[in-house]
Amino acid sequence: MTAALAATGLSAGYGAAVVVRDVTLAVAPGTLVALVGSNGAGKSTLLGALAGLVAARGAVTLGGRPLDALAPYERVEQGVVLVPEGRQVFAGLTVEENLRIAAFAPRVRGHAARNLARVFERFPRLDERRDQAAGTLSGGEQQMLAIGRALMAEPSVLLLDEPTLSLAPITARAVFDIVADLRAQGLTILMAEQDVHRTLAMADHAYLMASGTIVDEGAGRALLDRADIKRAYLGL
Amino acid sequence: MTPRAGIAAGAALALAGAVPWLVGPYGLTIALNAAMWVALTVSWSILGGTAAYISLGHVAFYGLGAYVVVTSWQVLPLVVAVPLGGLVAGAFALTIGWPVLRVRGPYFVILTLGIAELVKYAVLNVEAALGASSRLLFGVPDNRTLYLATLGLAVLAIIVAALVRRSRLGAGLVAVREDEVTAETIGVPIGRYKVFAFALSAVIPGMVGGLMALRSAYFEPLQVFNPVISFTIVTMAVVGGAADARGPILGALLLVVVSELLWANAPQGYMIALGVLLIGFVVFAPGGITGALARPRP
Repeated sequence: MTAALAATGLSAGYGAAVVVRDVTLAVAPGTLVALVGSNGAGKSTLLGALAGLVAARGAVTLGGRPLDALAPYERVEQGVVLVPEGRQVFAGLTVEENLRIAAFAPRVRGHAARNLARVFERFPRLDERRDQAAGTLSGGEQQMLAIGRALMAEPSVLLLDEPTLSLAPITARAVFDIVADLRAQGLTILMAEQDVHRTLAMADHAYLMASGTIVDEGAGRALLDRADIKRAYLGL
Repeated sequence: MTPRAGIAAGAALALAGAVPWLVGPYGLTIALNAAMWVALTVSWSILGGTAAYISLGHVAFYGLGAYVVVTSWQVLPLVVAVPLGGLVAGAFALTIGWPVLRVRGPYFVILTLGIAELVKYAVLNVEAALGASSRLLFGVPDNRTLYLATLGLAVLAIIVAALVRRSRLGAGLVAVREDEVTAETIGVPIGRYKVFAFALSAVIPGMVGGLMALRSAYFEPLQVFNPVISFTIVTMAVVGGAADARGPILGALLLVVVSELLWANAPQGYMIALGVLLIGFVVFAPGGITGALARPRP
């Protein structure tokens, strides 16, 4: 089966600093694939490179079609949509303005009203706060908004960068539930996350990153059961 | 635009169009100043207000437009020379836009100021080498003609700025203002949009510069490359509220009136009072008049 998203020999970084080295990965259609690793492992840089935001060498394909030469906005048009680390909502705009502006790609412009209704249906909390400035939302609500904004662009592959970062445990659980729900509905997801236990428990496949390279991979549950993984990542 | 706002705008336009027949020469000079600053500030706001890229280099576009008109005076008809001045200014913005708009924040501010000074001294040196540091222009149009033409450009600037704000380009520029990297993640082609908006914001200032060069029969480059023109544009936009479509118009009109009052009543304190006004707005009302009047969001 052709991977929904694949990278081959991908290296990426900032100027002379190479942060991600020779990464090869594949995300099968309709699966949740996790990138786990400690701070500084290169997860965010890798997601940025896949989204076209970070300079990279190597091959990236979407459904077999090369993305390497495409700018970030062209990758969004192809369906590769990133929810950046730290949410990064447009703080000065209202919730509804944040969502409407996210239907930017020509491919989805005609579906803005329908997609907006779907996002509000999925996140009633956002509907209640549609006229509220996004910067005044709680962290969890901002994460919902960031995910909702990505859904406005009708992603074929959703890249989630640390979606539970700085969230209270109960809010983080809610975000994991949202991700699981999106996965259950058939959305292809590549998620970088530091909560190794919860992430591996729900991931169809996972890549372990350290020092900018992939050091191991396997089914999420299988990795979770390995003693060396438990020792290294869970302190058990 | 609501019907009431449409009627008000139409009445204001009709009144502005009738100004040459309603006021004396002094009043017409003030009206000409007002039309000029509205055209310049509203044009500047296409990028500066919508995307918050603060250009201190717009005097370069104004000066280039002036130069095109002055050097083609009595060679090309004015209806050709003025738009040509706008096109040259726009083409220059397009050319420098790609490298200049790679930086943002204070770096962009300083870079645009530097480029305007570079253009000024390049022109001065070329003029000095040609032995043409100043020029006499015979048969320049009267103030009534200049006013009506500048008023037309001010209206054009308002229409263009309003269309941009309502367009996909405007939405993309707002996203850039809010967060440039995130704008990329929702699919905004930020490089193309910023450069296009920069060029668009330069065209009308080029045309205005062409017209303003004809206010006097005596022309010298320092008049049209004076950095105070850029500072004044930014001040007017900040005072009015650059993020709102009405802000640059309000700011320009208010400062033209305040300037005249200060010149007439306190010429020694003119620049001091303007400086205090700017500081006051930046500290206490960073959103300008329109920002201060806007209903706060919940």
